[in-house]
Amino acid sequence: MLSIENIKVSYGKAMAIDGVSLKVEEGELVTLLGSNGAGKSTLLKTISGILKPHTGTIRFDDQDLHTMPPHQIVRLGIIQVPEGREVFPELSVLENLKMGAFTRKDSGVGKDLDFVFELFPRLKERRRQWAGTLSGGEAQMLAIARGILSAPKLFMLDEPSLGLAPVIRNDIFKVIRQIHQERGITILLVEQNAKLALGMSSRGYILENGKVGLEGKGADLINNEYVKKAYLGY
Amino acid sequence: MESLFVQQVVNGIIIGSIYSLIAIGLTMIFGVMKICNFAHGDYSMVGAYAAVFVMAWLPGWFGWIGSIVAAAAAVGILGVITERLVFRPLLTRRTDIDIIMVSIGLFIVLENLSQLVFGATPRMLQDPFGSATVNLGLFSTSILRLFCLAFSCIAMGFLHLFLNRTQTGIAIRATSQNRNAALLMGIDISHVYTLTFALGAGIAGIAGVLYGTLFAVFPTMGALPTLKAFVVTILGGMGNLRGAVFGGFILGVAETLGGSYISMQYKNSIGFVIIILVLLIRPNGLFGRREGT
Ligand SMILES: Nc1ncnc2c1ncn2[C@@H]1O[C@H](COP(=O)(O)OP(=O)(O)OP(=O)(O)O)[C@@H](O)[C@H]1O
Ligand SMILES: [Mg+2]
Repeated sequence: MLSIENIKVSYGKAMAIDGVSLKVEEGELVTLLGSNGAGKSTLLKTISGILKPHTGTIRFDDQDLHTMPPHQIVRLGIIQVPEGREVFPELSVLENLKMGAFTRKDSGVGKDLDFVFELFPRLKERRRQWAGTLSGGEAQMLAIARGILSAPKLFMLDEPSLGLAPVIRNDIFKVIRQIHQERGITILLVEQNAKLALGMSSRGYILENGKVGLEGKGADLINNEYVKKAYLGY
Repeated sequence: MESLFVQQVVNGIIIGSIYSLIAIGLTMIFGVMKICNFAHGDYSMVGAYAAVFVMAWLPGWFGWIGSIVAAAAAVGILGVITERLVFRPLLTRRTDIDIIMVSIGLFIVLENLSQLVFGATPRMLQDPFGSATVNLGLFSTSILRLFCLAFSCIAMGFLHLFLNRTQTGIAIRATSQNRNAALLMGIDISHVYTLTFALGAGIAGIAGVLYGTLFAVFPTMGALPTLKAFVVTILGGMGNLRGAVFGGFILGVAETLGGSYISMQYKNSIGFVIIILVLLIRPNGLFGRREGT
């Protein structure tokens, strides 16, 4: 479905992605791990078209993404929930969700709205409130709900559990698993929480200093000695 | 004394509504594109000249309404042209100071072009009501002025509905709040920029007809409204639309009251005194957004 071949991305002279290749097949849940500054967010921004690689190719089915502007990439169903939520602070919760459905003309939007309100009843209660007044956990729910309203084919989430209390974090992971299993949405998940993320993933990649350090099945990575030491803390 | 006060407040509200109208476009363009456009008042000047031409063809009522429609359309198109030709090329490799310099250049070009084409002689726009006035007890005013107020409010009302009720309008607000997130929603930012300039300039064009009706039409008439719109924008908080609306009324009323109770000569400087006070006390403007949002 998504196939990245040897891309390099830099900010000015500083290389952030230095020759990464990565694949996501339809129906998979793939986790991308890596320490701070490894280039995970840079990779997602490049897939979304916000940054452009100076070499290498990114293909989605038979389309070349690396030459496409971001608004067209969204129309292909490649949806990103960015790091740090990035909700629109002075739009209401409902208006934020409508922006999620900005590119959609189909009649399923109303149903999807009911679906996310069922997933996150708190958002329903707060739908007329400015998004900037939500708590961190609620804002993360909104960011995910907004992404679901974009009708993703490939759903990319950048550290969705960052800074959340364990209870809320578990809720968020439950929702990710649910939309993957029940709706069959392909997921590329960036996480610091290696154990939870790898535990539910079909495959994983470990990014280090802009390169892929390790890749493998989720279960294999969890049992890998190096991963245990560096990412699981034992 | 009391009726003078009420009279001046009413006059202030009328002129203030026009300041609001000009400032809304300025602050909207700033919010979405981070452009400080010192040529913004010249959009009003061009709108006023559009009215001069329409009224020469169409007298009376129809001329007045027709001028407003024509000014909105013509200046909206001018806004799009300046955005594409002048500002767009700067957006990727810009610094704020480059953009300000270029907008000052645009202001000089537009003023001189209009001097060349229309000449320096001021022109008056006709009053379709033949200078009729109404006396409402505490104050009296011309019907024309009441219509100016009504048209400002109608224009602001339509803009409000557009920005709050339509998908495209919400997308404009979203882009001004978080450009990257807007990209991730599939919003075509380039389209939003064009539309923002069309709207902001078009509304300034309408304001130009109203302003020209109350005063006169001449090539340098845009300079003062530009400055006042900046005062209002800073008062209301850069990029804050509601702040621009209230800020316009506040400036209008403060000016007319100051003009009649303090000194007519200092009328135009009152706004700047207010700005200094506001910036000392509330650096983000009276209605400014909180830090970090
Ligand atoms: N806008 C930017 N300008 C310059 N350098 C940047 C920019 N954004 C990121 N970088 C640099 O690129 C590298 C990769 O950053 P990136 O945000 O992709 O890391 P990350 O893996 O997402 O880290 P984290 O887990 O902390 O979110 C870092 O060295 C970072 O300093
Ligand atoms: Mg990151």
